[in-house]
Amino acid sequence: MANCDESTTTGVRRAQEEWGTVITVDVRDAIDERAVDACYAWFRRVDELFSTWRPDTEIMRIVAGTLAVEEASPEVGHVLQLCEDMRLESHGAFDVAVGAHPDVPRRLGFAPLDPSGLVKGWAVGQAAILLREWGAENFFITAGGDLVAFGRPDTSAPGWRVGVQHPWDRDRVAAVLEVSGRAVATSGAYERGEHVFDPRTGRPVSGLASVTVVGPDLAVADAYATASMVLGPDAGLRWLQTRVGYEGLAITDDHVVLTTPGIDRYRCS
Amino acid sequence: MRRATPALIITAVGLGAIASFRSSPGLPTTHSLKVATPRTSTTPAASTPATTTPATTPATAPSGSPSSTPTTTPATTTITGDPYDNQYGTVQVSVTLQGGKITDVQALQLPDSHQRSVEISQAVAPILRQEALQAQSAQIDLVSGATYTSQSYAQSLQSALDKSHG
Repeated sequence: MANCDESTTTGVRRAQEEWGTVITVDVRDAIDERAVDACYAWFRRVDELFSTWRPDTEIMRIVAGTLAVEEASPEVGHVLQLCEDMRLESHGAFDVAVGAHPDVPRRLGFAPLDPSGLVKGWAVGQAAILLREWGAENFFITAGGDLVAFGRPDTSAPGWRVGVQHPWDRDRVAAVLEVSGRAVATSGAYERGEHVFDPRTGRPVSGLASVTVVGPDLAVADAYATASMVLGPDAGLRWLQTRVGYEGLAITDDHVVLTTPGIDRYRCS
Repeated sequence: MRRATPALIITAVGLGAIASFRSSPGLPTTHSLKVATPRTSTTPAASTPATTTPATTPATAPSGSPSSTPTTTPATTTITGDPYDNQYGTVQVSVTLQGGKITDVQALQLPDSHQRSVEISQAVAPILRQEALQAQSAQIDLVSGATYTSQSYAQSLQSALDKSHG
């Protein structure tokens, strides 16, 4: 388990492997380090409830039919309701039951009911609430590319500078957004063999390499990004534009950047 | 949460046009809502809140059929707000509710250069910005990358950032 801890008089920074990815918590305020411990304890609890890689988690017992949703932990019921809200709001473009479609190929760790993408954003958002309760004001949490950022990195900057990963240039970014008190989620499929599937047809989607969504809630931003990927360059961006409080930046397969106009207030480049 | 917002305020696609509805203290102009085209019911408040449990029915993922008019979910009602004039023209939006929750907001009228109302599908497309993709090596604090199906790119860049700070 990778674990590097750096504690200074001005903050705490920790990067640790959880959920098969790296979660980084970076607090620039002088806070009690138990606040960061509590975040990682929360992430492990989320893993115990929602991991699709082990058969004993609540979500996998629900999939197996040995646990009713009503009997599950309240967090599980809450997340599944949020998933259903997002499915309705996106007219089926976001659907955590996409893996149940007969045309979607089966693969390891890919359950017929798989809220993993939304769960990660939701859990990071909850951890941000936890940190704020401990008095943190200037911090970010990122889990494999989905993030929340509050306050600012230091007194010289008005917000956090977030690079949007370039889909085909591993070491570069395609855009820079400056955010404070916002969540940023990116959905995409820019590795060979990786696909986002359309829950309505079971077919892999095409047209967009990635969609980045900025807004107040990371779980919602994540669902919006995924739904926009599925809806495609035209319908996806137009739908995203009608979502109140959320803005988007999409990169098409043919190397064009499409944005909703409101993204301008976050853009540095 | 945004669903608890008492007054819904929509900035219409960067034109500076704002439509406000429902009475709310602090908003100078308010417009009452009127039910225009109720699809299945005129009493949305009386309908049962959504109690759908996707976990128990994973196999019923929509397969080609539109999900906008399901028979088992609460009644869908579309409410049209009054048209609202501002310096750029007229703005009018509709809100779709299902079981008391907003499931969609559509702009019915938006100002255009000829002061005549246009459909959002026509108005929005040219307003979306387009530019060529560029690779940048800007000064950044953290990175957002695709994670739904692929994590290694973002991990790669984030780990580099972690190292740069460590």
